[in-house]
Amino acid sequence: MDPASEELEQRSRYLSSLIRRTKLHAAPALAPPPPTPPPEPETKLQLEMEPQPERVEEAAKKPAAVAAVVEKREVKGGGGGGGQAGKGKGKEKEMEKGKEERKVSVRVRAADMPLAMQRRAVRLAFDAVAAMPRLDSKRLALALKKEFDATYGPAWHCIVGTGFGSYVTHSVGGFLYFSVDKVYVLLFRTAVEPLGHPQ
Amino acid sequence: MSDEATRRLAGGGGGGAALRASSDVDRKPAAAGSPPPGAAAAAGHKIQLKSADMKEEMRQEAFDIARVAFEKHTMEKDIAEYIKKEFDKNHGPTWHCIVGRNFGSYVTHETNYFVYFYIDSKAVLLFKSG
Repeated sequence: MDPASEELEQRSRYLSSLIRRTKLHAAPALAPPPPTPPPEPETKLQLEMEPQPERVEEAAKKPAAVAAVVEKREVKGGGGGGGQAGKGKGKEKEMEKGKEERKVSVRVRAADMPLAMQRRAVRLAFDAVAAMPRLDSKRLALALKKEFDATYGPAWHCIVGTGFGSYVTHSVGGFLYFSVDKVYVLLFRTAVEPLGHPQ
Repeated sequence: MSDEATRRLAGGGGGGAALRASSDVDRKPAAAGSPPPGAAAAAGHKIQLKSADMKEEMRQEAFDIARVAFEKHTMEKDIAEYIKKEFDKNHGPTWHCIVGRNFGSYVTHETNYFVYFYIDSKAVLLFKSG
């Protein structure tokens, strides 16, 4: 439990720094989100954000420096892990194997979303991409949308791919654009009009 | 009128069920090369409908607007912006547009307001929600 919470804190700090960096970087290009989001989650903001597209599929390999999210394990550095349970050992082994195959990086490109929600999305996408031998964009989009619809209520939309551009309108606090390895993920929310009588 | 129409359509299924979920198949072109702009322009931008929950008239309008967008812009996000804004203007908010060669998606849209098609080698996803 302690190592897990420690890892969570590290990831949280990492994401926070990334977000700050991204916001500073995106400040000239994107309109800044409101400092205090209104309490009503259904409030729709007429703010349209444009995620940067990949122009050519081959050009997706950008030289931008990205840091690896997976923290190095002690067991990898040393000869043998001390006192590790079988279950935990298996998990670490799996992660090591994944890391050996490729170094997966995560980067939040633009966001208007509470940190906890961002973490949830990034973690889900990261785990899904790591588990897929070959990217299944549709499946990942479905998983993310369903998770967010179930957890935070409708209606969420998810786009996953290596080459796309978009132009969307989203609810306040419901927008996230990030990359996992070479895959870009756009996740945003729109207001669902209540079917009751108008006020 | 438009407000009433929107509300009525949204009320079709009752509650969250009024909005349907649609998905699209990944587009992975076998050849990496793209056709030269001249040839594309000469061909008049071939359009291939993949999936739609949209009336014929509106669908044709989407195709026409997409053709104009491809003539005016080259970047995918600019094309998406043009198409979305045209539909926001003509059919009321709120529309969303995705344009690209390689992407998968899963979205919730209002009934009768969803179209997914190819124009040349790029896919265009246009839907209304919110």
